[in-house]
Amino acid sequence: MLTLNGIPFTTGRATYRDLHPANVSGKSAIYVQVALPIHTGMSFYAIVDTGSPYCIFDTEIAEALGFSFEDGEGLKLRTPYGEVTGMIQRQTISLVAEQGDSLEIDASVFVTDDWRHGNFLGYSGLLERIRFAFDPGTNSFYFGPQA
Amino acid sequence: MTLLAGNPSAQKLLSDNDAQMLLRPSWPSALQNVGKQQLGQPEIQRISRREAVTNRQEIGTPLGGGLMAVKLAESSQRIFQPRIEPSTHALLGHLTSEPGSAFELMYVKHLLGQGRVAIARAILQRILLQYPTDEKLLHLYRAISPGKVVRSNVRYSDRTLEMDWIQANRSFHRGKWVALLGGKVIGIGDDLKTVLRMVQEKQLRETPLIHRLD
Repeated sequence: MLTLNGIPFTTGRATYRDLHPANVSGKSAIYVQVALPIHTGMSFYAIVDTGSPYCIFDTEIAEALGFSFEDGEGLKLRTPYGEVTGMIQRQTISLVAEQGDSLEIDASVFVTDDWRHGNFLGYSGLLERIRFAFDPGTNSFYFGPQA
Repeated sequence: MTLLAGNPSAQKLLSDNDAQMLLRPSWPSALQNVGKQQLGQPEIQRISRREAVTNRQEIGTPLGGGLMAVKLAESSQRIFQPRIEPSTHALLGHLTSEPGSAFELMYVKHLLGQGRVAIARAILQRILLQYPTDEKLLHLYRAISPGKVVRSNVRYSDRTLEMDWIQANRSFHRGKWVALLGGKVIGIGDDLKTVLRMVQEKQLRETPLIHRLD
């Protein structure tokens, strides 16, 4: 794992993908594997997006994970795809490690029944709570809890 | 640039920003007018900016929101004291009759919709001092406050085999959901729930990767 001044900086490592083979648009992004501890039956890829305030998942995934579309205060989120109505909920999201430890993070997830533009890990909702680093030479995503 | 109508002798060109300020005071400013001083900028600073363009009595009404502008200009002639302005009814809508936590909640939601989470958190914290038992405020604060991070001794594969399968087969199954484990198809179907049911039936020890094939 990575160290900073001799002290562990991150505790887990995973391979990230910068071009998802299932994405016909060919748009490059940083895709990392995530899972939800409440639903151990699956993992999926999500884009690391520091420009997004919250985590947001495709509606079909949110439904399958058992997210409620009625639990919380409804609000309208501005997105590049237009305004989307939904609510912010707290969910535990697991950043999956191939080496070291995975991380379970209490994240802020924007839940909406109107999202079909992919899965995103947002900044305020998740990324601000962890240390992370990328090595494009090896497509490595390093992460760990804050000190 | 926006032309502020009125008495021709009193007409004055305003920038768009200035016009917006006159027509629609910022939410923090509106909150101050209903007595929540801690939520906004010091009002006296805004008054001094408006005074230059609203010091003629005719200015204001033609653009609809001018009553506020006139009030502010008048108030700038004396020491500012926060109070409920009659004109805020038009600006705040139906919530002005009961400007309780519902109004603050609406403002915080407005900020959250713009992704301004840090300021929304700070305001929500201050509002909660005033309404510490408000369930809606508490629920929202819990949803956006920084949560805990825990390490777990769980490891997954790098999904190379699954990705290879997707690359080789996606054109044959466009629009389908698929669950893959080590290059094997665990389930495939038109909707995710069906696929997850297939996964559950297999009672696997490892976690499959799910994906929709675009």
